Amino acid sequence: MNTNVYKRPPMLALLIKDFRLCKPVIVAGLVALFIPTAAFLFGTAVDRAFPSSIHPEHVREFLQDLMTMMIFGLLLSAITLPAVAAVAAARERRDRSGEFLHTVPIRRSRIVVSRIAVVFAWAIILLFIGAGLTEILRPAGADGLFTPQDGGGFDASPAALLIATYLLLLGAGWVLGAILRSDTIAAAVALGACTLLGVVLALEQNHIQDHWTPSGQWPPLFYFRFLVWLLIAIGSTTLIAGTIISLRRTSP
Amino acid sequence: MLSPQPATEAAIRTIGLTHRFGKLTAVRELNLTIPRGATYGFIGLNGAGKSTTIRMLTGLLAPTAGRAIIDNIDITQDPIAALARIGYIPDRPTAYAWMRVGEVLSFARSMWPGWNDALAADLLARYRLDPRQKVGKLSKGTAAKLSLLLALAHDPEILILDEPTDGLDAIAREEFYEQIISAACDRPRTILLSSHALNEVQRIADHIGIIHEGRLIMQGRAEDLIARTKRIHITFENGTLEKMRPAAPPPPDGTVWARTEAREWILTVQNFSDDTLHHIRAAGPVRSLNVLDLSLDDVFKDIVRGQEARA
Repeated sequence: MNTNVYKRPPMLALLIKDFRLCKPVIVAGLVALFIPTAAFLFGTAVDRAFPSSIHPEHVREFLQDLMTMMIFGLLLSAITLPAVAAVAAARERRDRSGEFLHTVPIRRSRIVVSRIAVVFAWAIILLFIGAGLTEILRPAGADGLFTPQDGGGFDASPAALLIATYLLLLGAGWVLGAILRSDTIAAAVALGACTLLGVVLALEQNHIQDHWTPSGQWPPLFYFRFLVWLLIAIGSTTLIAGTIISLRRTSP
Repeated sequence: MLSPQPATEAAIRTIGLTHRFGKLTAVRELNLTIPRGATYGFIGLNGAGKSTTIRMLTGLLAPTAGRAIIDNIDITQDPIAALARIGYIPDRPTAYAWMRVGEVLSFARSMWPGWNDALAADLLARYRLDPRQKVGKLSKGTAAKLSLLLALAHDPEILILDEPTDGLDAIAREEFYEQIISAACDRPRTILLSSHALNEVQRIADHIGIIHEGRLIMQGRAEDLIARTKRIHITFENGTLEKMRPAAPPPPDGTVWARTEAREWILTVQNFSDDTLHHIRAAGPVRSLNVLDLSLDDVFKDIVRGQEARA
């Protein structure tokens, strides 16, 4: 072993360790993010291998479909958010490597901060890749993720709903990972709970749409805002709860 | 840090250390004193409370009551300072199985302020560990050596070993203890060793503590304990002990286990002396009396059986 190599600061070593711990799920998330787009591009290339002419309307249609695929990829990859949070919170407890980590002279808060930093970094990267790509396509005529609905500003844009949903997924995975020993079960339960909440909210949205907006349009702006803030509140609460549980836990 | 109390020569001390798992008290009011530089064999049956005690000493479990003091530092008050002084080897290797040996060492090196690169490189070579090998692919014996390397490379004053050779074959066990002895010789260290392998404990420990049902029932110098604990087989002229009742003699002071087998009265006595023999002879006409030396294994079994018989 080379004894003259650079000695990493403890926090950096923890961050690298946590990133590597979550790497398989992160790779799966990247695949899920790009696979619908790649499949769509491949299908289009095969279908229109030798176009006789490129009509502007076709380009617009193509870009709109591409945008839909990207958003689909974004939603698909969001499945990995509770998984990353659960792996970061619970994997070391399950495989007993947490016992090793908890006997090194380092503050518990640093261990937890490193884990949560990797989880947030993944969510932000996912959001920026997905949202950024859709914004690139926006000038071509498609609606972007940051386009406000009904002119309502940030909390009425699809991006706000996406961020709130991400926070909810992260929080659920994080708190369950802090409570349960198995990261797999924690991720599955978190995803199930979030899906259930999503179904309930979707049914409520349909109810509002039927009764409050007779024309069947998008539900009123205040409901959209309520939805965003509700998800942010649940997500933040679960994140804080998970962090407190992780910090207070003496046993790894 | 325990500022109000003077520094003691005990490297590890527990004061009324207690841990409850719900209604079950795993460790109750344990007062352990391990002198600096001692190799302390911590022995007990399965479920006696050894691992729970060790987990409290290494900060892996919070005490329900009492204190665990490492080198005059209360581990619950200043875990970072206490852990910096400890090298801990658990019953099963806990290093990251998905990392390579070199990566685990690099990670550990970043964590311990006192990491000694030269010592780590020396131990790596001595244990013939390949830095490129995945930790999860190591044999049990090699993984135990890696645990030992991780525990020693920051040159701790105190080494805590919790059943470190569990699941190892005889040769790997032998090699492991050779390394422990070598580590103890390299520099003065206090070693707390919990093990079922009493012959190995007897080989390396100079102090012994016996824990039974969460209570420390005996602690002291191994040499004294073994030298002064004897098993005495007595046969009386007038028959068995039962025939002597109701005037059956009380066992002498220091008796840890007394039983009758056929015509023999068998006593295991701690602090054996001539007074013990006088006491026995005074009880009645003795036909035969044999005093046997015991191994640590026998001492341990007799003390524990005596406890169980009393319970």
